[in-house]
Amino acid sequence: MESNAPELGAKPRTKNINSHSGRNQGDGASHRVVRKLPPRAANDRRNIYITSKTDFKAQQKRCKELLNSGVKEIFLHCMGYSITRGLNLALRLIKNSEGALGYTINTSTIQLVDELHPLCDEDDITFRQRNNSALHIRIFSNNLFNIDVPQLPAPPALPKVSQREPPKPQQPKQQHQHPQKANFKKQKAKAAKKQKAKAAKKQKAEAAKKQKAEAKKQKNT
Amino acid sequence: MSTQKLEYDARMGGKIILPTHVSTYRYAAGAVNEIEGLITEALNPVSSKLIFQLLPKHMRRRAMSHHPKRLPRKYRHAHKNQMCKGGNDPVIRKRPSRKYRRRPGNLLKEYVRRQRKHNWLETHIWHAKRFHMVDRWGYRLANASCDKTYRACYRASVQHCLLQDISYYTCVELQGSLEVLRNGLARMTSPQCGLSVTARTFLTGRREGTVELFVDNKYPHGALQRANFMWRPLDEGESATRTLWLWLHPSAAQATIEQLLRVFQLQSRRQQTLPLQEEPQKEQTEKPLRFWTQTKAFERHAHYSHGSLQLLVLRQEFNRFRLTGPQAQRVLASSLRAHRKGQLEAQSTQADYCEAAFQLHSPNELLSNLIMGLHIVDPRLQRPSKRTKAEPRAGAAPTGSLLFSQPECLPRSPLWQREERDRLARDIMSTHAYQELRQQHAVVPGQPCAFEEQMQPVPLLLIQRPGSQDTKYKRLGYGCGWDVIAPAKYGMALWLTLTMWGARPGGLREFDSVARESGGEQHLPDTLAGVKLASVAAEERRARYFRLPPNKRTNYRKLAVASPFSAPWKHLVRDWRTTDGPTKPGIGSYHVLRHRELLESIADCLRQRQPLPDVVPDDCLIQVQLRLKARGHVKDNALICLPSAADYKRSWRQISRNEQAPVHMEPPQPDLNERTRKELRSNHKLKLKRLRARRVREKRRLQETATKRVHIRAANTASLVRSHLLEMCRLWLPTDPAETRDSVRRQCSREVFGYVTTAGFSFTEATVCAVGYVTSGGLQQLLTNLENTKWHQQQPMCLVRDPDSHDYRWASLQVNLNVAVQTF
Repeated sequence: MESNAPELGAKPRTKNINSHSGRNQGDGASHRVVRKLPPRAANDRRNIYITSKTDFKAQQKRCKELLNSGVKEIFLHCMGYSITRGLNLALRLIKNSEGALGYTINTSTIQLVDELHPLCDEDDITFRQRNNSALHIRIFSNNLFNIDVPQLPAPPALPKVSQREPPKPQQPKQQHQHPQKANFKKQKAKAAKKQKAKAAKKQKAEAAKKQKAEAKKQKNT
Repeated sequence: MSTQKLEYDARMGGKIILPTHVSTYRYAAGAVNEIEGLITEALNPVSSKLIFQLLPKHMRRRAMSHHPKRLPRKYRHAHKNQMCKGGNDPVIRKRPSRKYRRRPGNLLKEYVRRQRKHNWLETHIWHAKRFHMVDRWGYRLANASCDKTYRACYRASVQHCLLQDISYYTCVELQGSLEVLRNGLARMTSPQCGLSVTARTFLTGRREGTVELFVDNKYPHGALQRANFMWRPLDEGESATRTLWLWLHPSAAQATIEQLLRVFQLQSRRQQTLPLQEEPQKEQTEKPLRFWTQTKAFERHAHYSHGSLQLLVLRQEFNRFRLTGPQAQRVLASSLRAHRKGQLEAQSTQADYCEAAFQLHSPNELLSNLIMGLHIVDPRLQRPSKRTKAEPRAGAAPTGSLLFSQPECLPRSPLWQREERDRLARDIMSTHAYQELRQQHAVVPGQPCAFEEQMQPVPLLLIQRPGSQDTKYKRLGYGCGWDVIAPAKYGMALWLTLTMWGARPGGLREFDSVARESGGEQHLPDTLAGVKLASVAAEERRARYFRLPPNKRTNYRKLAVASPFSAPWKHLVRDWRTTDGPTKPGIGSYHVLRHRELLESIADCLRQRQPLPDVVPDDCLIQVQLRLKARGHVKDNALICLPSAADYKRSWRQISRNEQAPVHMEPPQPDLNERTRKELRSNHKLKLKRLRARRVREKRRLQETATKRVHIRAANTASLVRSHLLEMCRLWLPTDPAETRDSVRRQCSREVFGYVTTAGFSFTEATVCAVGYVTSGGLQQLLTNLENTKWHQQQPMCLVRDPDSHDYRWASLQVNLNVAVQTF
């Protein structure tokens, strides 16, 4: 079902789709392919998942408002067909921001699972795994007010990313870092820094006091 | 020419001959009659006087009629009855005070009294305070919240969590050998609709299935309802008998149970003949009694059996709550804490799996229709102090292995055992006792107490619902969620915990809206529930129509609408039938096409502009989803029409000029009855006036001679007025489509080939969407018309018109393939 006028990068609408999404016509159709939702890493407002159906303008507005409301960075996740759409969105956001926004891009492969529902009573449900390419765009605002925020050594790695290099089965788990966790880390770092600064201030104040006292002593003498 | 009549009158000189003797039996018969009459007279005196007026003077007291206590006691009861009949009851009791009524014992008695007619769910009181309640299917159910929550409930079903109580579903337990069950259920289902009940994927008990039930061997006609079912997972050792739960909708539950009884030849166990055990030493000459009849006075669950096959109707034995929306994961994760103390290995495996499953983003990521058993601590212990939104727990999301492999013991639950359910209901700590204990033991308010660890664990069954699975039809995963089955008596405790964690409660209205948003319907128009609901809705619409003043009523004759209040499926199918002859299976039979392969081929034909396959029966209705292409609104019961060649042409022009006007307007038809109605009305008024004048004249005439004041006679024109009203209604409405052929198909300037059943603005699609049914003949006609017009749009289009309007608007049309499988 088409919802709005297709934007650039939208899913191409072929007229004769022989292989209906719900069926497998090739091998005698012994099962029906049922897609599952792709896994999501995080589901807060800063993570935006691009679809090929959502209105382009609406999504652009949403991102813009999010960035204007004081969020430092947002993540656009797009997969398969919607990659071009996501790229378009990111580029347009950056172009319209007149240099206030920067971006970094990560590519990854997402493992999708399809359920193969049986069509006859004797079969059981089976699964099919396939991969799809995905793109994670981080858009951050680099305006003047944010300069004092110290850049963390490691920007929060993107969740559910198995890198292009042939991945080892256990590695993605360790690589995977929850953005929330990262956020938490950041906060921790911030807090530590604050404490350090406080301590430094205290030391300074004490030093000043000592100096003053010494000066007084000297005066007295 | 007049003949003289004889007059037998002694004074006039007629002759009278007296009999010389009277036969005794005649005399005695007459005397008996007389005596009987006297006795009845004495027993029930017919007197117009009241009892206190009959008393002798020395027993009369002042104001006796007002104070019955001044009467002798034996007359008081009769006196009260007499006064009640007159309508002026002297002893009307005052309504007891609120304080008295609200005492717990009295309140409970009142609740029991009010449940005689319509059963209540466990959460009834909670709902009755917040929801509009309606009587449906023998229950009193929540329809919609008193607050305005329509849109909020939609949002909850998409992003958050919508919570509904569906405990009114009747659970039927079938127990028997697999072979018997398979053969019996095969008679009530059809392999064309999808997998059967005994398919391998369901038999292990790890998934819940959906099946369409029909009257015995009547497929495709005689649809009963769509039912969910689950098999009891096999324990070690026993494999001879299997247990099956069928979850039946209450609208057709009784009919379905009767069908099951007939198919399996089951007998009620309420009254049964048992062989009598006689002591052998007694020697009797007569033939001894060999059987005795045992009758159970009370049966908690209706029980039927035949041989080893058993059927139990488990009404109000479970609570079933439906959670919809991705947030359901978080709500369940926060409100269900696994009971991990002194557990078996199987139970801890279940708990591990469940906890991992609730970490996922959406229920859709799990195996569809997965069943999970879980033991939780009492849900009352898991409540936040304030209503809070359940937040995701920090932690790594589990890997994809949850989908591929489930532990073998996952669907097992003690809920399947009757003794266990009884024990749970018996040993539950009542809320009152719990609060008392908290008062005694809780030192710090809000902190857990020691006694709470002793509260019994509650077994639950969790059933995943996958939501939309067809991306072509509806966005993936819309309407996904969980069904939670809890034992009896735990309903309120669990319900409150779920709502406290931010689930939004909904009612029956939300079922309809979720079904409409997902592009389907709960009750198809050929099922029992569908027929009944449609007739109720039609009656309501009709009543509303005639409540309006005449100048506000839509004139359906002018709009050329044949059946304004309900969709006339029978006549629609009759008009589109191609093979006309004696072979047709009966006038007025129609059914919804559920044959999945056929539906797929129809969808393919629509896409590729080919003629429909020949095997499509001509008395079937095909469920379609409609989307309006531009402006306009569609209500229920709208007409689906075939566009003409001119409409296609005009459509091009409209697209190029960006016009939003309706593509075609129905030219107003002449209403031949208008004049008749006017005359009828004026005549009727005149007649009533005349009658009144006559009564007034009569009264005046009587008054002239009477000494007392004479009142006017009662009008007694009720029957006259009623017949007039009926006649007027007949004249207002269009002629019944049953009378003439083609009255539905060619009712207006465009041919009608279908009707809309539910329509409204769809938030997921951001346009007005509708679910309707079209005939196969009409669809064929649409395709042939398309070939002639060279109209190459992506989807075939049709015209849609509201029954209240003359505007035809374009709507795109899509065949629903998942008619037989519930996805919401």
